[in-house]
Amino acid sequence: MTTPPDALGEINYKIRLEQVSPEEFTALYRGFLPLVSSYLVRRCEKSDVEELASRVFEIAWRKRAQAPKEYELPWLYRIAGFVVANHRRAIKSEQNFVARFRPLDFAPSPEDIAIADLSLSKAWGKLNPFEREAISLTAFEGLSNQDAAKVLEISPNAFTQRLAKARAKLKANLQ
Amino acid sequence: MTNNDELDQRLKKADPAIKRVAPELGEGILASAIAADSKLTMRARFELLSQNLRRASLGLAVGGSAAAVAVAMVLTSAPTPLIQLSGMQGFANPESVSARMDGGADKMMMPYVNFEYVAGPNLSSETGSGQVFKLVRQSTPEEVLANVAAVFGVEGTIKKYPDFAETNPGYFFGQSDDPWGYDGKNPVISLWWSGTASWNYSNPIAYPESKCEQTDADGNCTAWTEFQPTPELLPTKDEATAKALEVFNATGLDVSASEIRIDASEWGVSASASMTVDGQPTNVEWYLGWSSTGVLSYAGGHSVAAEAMGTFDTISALSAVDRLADWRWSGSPSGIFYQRFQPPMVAEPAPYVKSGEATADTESSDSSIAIDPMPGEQIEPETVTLTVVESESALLSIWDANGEVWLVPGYILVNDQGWFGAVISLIEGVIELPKETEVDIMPLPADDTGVSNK
Repeated sequence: MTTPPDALGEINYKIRLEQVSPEEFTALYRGFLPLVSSYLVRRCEKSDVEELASRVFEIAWRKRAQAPKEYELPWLYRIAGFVVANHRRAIKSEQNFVARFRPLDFAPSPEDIAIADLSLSKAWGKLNPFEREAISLTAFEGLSNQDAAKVLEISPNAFTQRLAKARAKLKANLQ
Repeated sequence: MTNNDELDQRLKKADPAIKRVAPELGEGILASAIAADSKLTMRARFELLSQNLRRASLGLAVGGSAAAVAVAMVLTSAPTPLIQLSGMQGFANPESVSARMDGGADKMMMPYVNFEYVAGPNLSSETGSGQVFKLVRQSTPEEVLANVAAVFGVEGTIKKYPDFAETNPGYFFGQSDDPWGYDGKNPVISLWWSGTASWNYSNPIAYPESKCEQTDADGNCTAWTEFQPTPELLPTKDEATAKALEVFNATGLDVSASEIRIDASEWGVSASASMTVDGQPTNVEWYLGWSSTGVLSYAGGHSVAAEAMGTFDTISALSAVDRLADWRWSGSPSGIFYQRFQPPMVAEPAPYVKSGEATADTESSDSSIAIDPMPGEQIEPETVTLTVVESESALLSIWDANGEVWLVPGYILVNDQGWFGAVISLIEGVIELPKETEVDIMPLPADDTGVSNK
């Protein structure tokens, strides 16, 4: 899945230049269906997953020529993150105005974590959305730092820093 | 808890996907995505909206009339009062409405607690009047992006978001061809040309390089040096204030240094300020942030001006307490109030306890496991009475059914728990409210009680 960073520490992105047929698209992405479903169910109500997944793959199909080769899953997570953030922004009617001007939040919420671990949920809630998502992508989605960096559209270096900071903060919050 | 392994184990156990089993997605989703490639016609959008509303109505145990009302709220345009309030608060397009309706289930899953509001003895019974403002977008998308780009020194061209539509008018500016691009090197400015024309600046290169500590057999780096904070690189409060003042003023916010709020830690610094209208702060805010390297990493603002639409009578703070329980009367106040009256960081859902069982000690250091209700089992929500002990006038923002934003007079009603609600104080008739719908409180879905084999 991952490509080693080049000498400058940056990932060489291989952009898919050729057109992808429906058959190729289906063959390529069917394996990601359960992973996308898991990503969504960590962040949304189960009843919303199917519709949100439909939106994710509609966008993926429209933008299929831009999917980076060998990084299709992080690319899908990136799309799914925006879909989740928009979905959340839409459902919080009383907070919409404020929410529009705050960073997108596509990480699992404290309430999601609270189902299993209330004190972890409290510590989780003190992280900002980017910190939560950095931990989520590695701890829950199981991505490498390089792949997770692609999801967040930042360099692996930046992601490593963000993850280290987020984990340190989470640990401090738990004490 | 300082051990990394312990933290990893605890996170693994808290994975939400363990509790909520991910539904199996069929390949039909891929086929549908391919088939849906062509842009939806308005008729198709309406049909899609209707389907979503019907589905939501069934799921939420809301009558079919609710869906019809929701459609009418958004798609009709017969403004008799001054403001026709959006029932979806800010989403006048069908896609957003469907998302709102679908998401309504979230609101019903949560209330294990019902709040009742009573007025304390110090609330005023005096009525009054207040000015109403409409926020009008200024300039054009091209000019706004060009101005913001000049402020931040960003080069590039203006493009539309891939999902751009009349109801979703998103633009971005930079050297990337895609707002979801992966070069991670170029700053991007995005602009949403609706509501207050909010823009955001994001600089992905505001981070230091890291060193590889460990590689795997293939030469891939598997662990990088953990970064340490570098507070010496961060701007001082005065420097941050000066820069924020420069950026805010250059992008249309007329504020003084004393109105800029600074939030600093060893990992970064942020500055923010509210747009002031009629001498009152609003929740139309500008912000600016520095990463740990001391480089500007994000910013945001708006291109909007307030136009006075007239003075209207207002109800008393005492009467406004009755509106706290009705979400349709709520508005959004300035972030200043959130700083002054901070609600708990995390909503703490009360663990479900079956009747006859002892109450779990939620304060225990041991991780509490919430018990889901059995299928068909009813939950009796706890009723908590909140006494409103203090009120303050404020300008609140609301969205109308056409996707425009208004500032209306309201009250900040502070309760005896230290947090607050913000309600509109205009007398009835100035705003046409969306129709209220009756919603039953339902237990969690039975199929959410399963455990995955992840």
